[in-house]
Amino acid sequence: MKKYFVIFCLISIFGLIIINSESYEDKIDKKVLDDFKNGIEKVNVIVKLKEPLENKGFFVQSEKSDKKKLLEKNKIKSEIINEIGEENINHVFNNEISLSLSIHDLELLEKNNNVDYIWFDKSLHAFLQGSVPYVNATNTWNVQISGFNVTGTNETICILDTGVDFTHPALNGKNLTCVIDCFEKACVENCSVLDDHGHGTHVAGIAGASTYINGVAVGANLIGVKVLNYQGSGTSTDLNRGIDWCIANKNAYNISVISMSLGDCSNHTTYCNSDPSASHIDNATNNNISVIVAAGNGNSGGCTGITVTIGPSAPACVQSAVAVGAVSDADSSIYYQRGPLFELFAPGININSTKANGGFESLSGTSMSAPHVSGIFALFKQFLRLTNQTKTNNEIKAVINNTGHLLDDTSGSGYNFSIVDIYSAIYSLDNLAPNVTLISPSNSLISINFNQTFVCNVTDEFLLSNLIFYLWNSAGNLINQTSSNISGLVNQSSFNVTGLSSGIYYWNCLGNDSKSNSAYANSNYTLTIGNLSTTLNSPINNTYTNQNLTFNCSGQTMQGAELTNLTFYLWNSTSDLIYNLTSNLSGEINSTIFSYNFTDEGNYFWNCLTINNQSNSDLANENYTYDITSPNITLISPENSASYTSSSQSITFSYNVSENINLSNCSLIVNDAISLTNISIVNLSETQSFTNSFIPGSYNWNINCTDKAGNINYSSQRSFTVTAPAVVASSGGGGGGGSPSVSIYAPTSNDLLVGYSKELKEKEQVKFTITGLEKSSHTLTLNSLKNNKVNITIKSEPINLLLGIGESKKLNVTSNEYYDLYIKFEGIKNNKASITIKTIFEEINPKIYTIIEENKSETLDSEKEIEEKIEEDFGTFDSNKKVFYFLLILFIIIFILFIILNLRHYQYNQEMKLLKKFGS
Amino acid sequence: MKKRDLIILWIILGLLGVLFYFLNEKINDTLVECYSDSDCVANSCCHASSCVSKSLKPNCSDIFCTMNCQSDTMDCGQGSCGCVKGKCIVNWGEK
Repeated sequence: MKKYFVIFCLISIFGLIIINSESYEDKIDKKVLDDFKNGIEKVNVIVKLKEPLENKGFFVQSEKSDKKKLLEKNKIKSEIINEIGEENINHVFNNEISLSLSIHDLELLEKNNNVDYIWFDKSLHAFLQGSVPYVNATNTWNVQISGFNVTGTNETICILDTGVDFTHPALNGKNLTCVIDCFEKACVENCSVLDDHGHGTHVAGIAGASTYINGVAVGANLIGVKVLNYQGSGTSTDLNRGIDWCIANKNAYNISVISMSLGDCSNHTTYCNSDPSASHIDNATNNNISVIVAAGNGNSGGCTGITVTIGPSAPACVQSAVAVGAVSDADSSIYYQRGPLFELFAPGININSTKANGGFESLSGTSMSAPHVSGIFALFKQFLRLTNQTKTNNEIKAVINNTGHLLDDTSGSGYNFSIVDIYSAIYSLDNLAPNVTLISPSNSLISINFNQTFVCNVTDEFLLSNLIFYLWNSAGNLINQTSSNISGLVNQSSFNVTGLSSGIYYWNCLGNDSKSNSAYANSNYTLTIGNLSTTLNSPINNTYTNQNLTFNCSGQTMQGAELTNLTFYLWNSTSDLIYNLTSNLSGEINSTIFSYNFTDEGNYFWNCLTINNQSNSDLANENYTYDITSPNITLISPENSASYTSSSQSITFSYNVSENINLSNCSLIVNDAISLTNISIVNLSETQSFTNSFIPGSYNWNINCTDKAGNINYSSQRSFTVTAPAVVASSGGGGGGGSPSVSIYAPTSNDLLVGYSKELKEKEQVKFTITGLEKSSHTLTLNSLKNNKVNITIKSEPINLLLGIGESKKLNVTSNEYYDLYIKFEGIKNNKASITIKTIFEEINPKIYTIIEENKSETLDSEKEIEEKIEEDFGTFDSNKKVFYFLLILFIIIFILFIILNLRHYQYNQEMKLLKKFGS
Repeated sequence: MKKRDLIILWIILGLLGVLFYFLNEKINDTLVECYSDSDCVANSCCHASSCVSKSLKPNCSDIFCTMNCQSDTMDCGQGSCGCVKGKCIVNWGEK
């Protein structure tokens, strides 16, 4: 019996050893092994390194000091890099190395005790590349109406979700506001809130990402409204607050769509119009805001007993909402909740979109389908706006439903559904006629050619059908009609007409599209076929000049006839003939030059009359302007020898300019160089100004103006000086002397101790001295104030900061061990940034300091981020694990002791038996 | 080893055995969470990854969740709650 017990104990011990030993499968991703089995020579992997530990006692392993740990980690990394070869390293992370390895390298890494795990470096799918074309959004973007592509421009989608990380490169600039935080509070714009869950960021990317990846409404704006917490849950109250905010701000931000990828745990076979959110959704749709809601995923999270084919969850079940179900863009198979209530279907399986804090990730669910439809509604609404059409929410739903692709779910829910197709939806509403342009012959052409080729150009937003050419004579009789079948979006067709006789003709083209919309060019063109034509060669029409020019005319007559003479006529602006001269000509084509010495300025008309030997004549007219007077300039301000005191002085230069005929432009000349030029001069006499900033120095300035004939005039020269200010004393003070627009403020040390607040304009500075461990002077400059964010530079470090409203930052400008400066961006008043600076003396957590040193190249925005990074990098000691191992080892020792004691006891008994045996 | 020591050791081990037996009984009594699958529910309203007895059911009325299928949760039929040996567990892999 005891033997069995001993064997049992040994087996247990071996078992424990085996259980705790690692097999290679525990260390290597199966996909890596599969790739090698499939004959792939090099596999991309990510190698995760173990945290360096050292033994301090029998039972307990403890962490090394942070610095030692970092050194050891770097040593381990360099060893691995040397083993694998630098050429195979893709990227070195803090705790991982991305590399390309062979089977030999894999063996090396598998034996390396510092390697924790080897992941397969999976290649990501093309972002949204499948689902966006699947709903035909990409074709829709190419539709151009009135110069605008249908991309959702000027439409705004409210994303009611967990927030949105608009710092993501694919979403940056898409937001009209910071995140509107409605979770457990009245809605308030909060620039420090992004997305603490990630769901909202993914949804926003599908609806409207526009960099790196393209969402459905690539041109739409987005507003992130936070109604769900970091766990992805929220209440009707939060949701209703978010909906109401979007309604209230509809006009301010052009909000036309609300996207809600959320729902509760329910099935509905009838509309749930008594749902707590129903009246809010109704209110939104009554305000022409479409509310798109995910239909639900069936048995999810806390849900049980949901049959996915019975119907959608709430609030998708609200009648005025648009419930959205999920379909796979790979095989059009249907997923999750659907049923008798109206539902549209969009891709929702493995949708790769934006991930909070950067990167991309693939998610599934009706959450991913809803933003596809939200984007589609934004595109649809922009189309309606561009085509001057109006549709109710129900009408839009009906159009999108009727133009989608059939989704047969008769074997599932018993219903047929529609997969959205936005291009088909807007095509069905095409009310735009093609745009026809007449190319040649040009309008009013006089030609002696009796065979003509007429060229028309036609474009359409969707699909052309045919083009018809019409030619009428001077009596209005149609003498030629030719039709040409065409297709595509653009077409240019030629129509040849021969045997025309002399006379006046009118022609046009009629374009038709596939929706039977048709249009002519704006007006008919005139063509004169004659025996004679006159051309005015130079100067070109509407010439302005300050010099005497020659006039060149040419004539052309039909074959068999001959030019006889050409007469030049010059008329003044009151239509008085002031000069004419006739020159004899010969041949079929000829030209002649006329001269006239202008003495009076003004606008003139000139023309030439050609006559042939058959007494045919032809006349052409053009304009000509003679101007030799320069513009007159009067300087107004600043006065000569003005002086300013500022480090950067903005000065407005005011002047009056007048001219008798025309004006072209005026320029500000500073120190004999053109500083600014104004080309938008409309009136012949007006007062204008230039504004520019100047650093300290002496300057001279004047204005020059030019008319269209090239006459230029310079004003008298004035001077001004800008002197650097003595630093302006500060505490309650405003700017310095005069009326400088840029000021420097100098708070005292006491001001800084209690906290110094100042409203600063762009470029304004605060000079201050910190008397911490070391005394040092610094300058804070407000570089820019844009989008509720300030960009601040602090020199002499220099440190560059970007702060949102309410954000603050602790800095260590004099010491590596202490924070000594606190800066906060309080808000914006009168277009000025209210900044508070304060000297502090706060010890930096050594770990934080290490991280700061380690991550000098990285920008850590807040102490919280640093703390998070410490946790991420160093982890926390697992005390439970320690206790477990301690007890296990104690247990083993007791067993071994027990076995030893029993063995000894067994031996003792045996000896006693032998003694008894031999003794007896 | 003396016989007395052996007896003490056996008594200690015996006491430990008795103690373990009663503790185990007590633990078992307190850990009987369910008798059938219907006694078990998800432990949270959104994206639950474990199950609890019905008596510990979270209040999910008027709670909305994101409608994505989160991995390693029971979302989208990835798993369901069941009762095995008196404990509420997740039956993974049901589709």
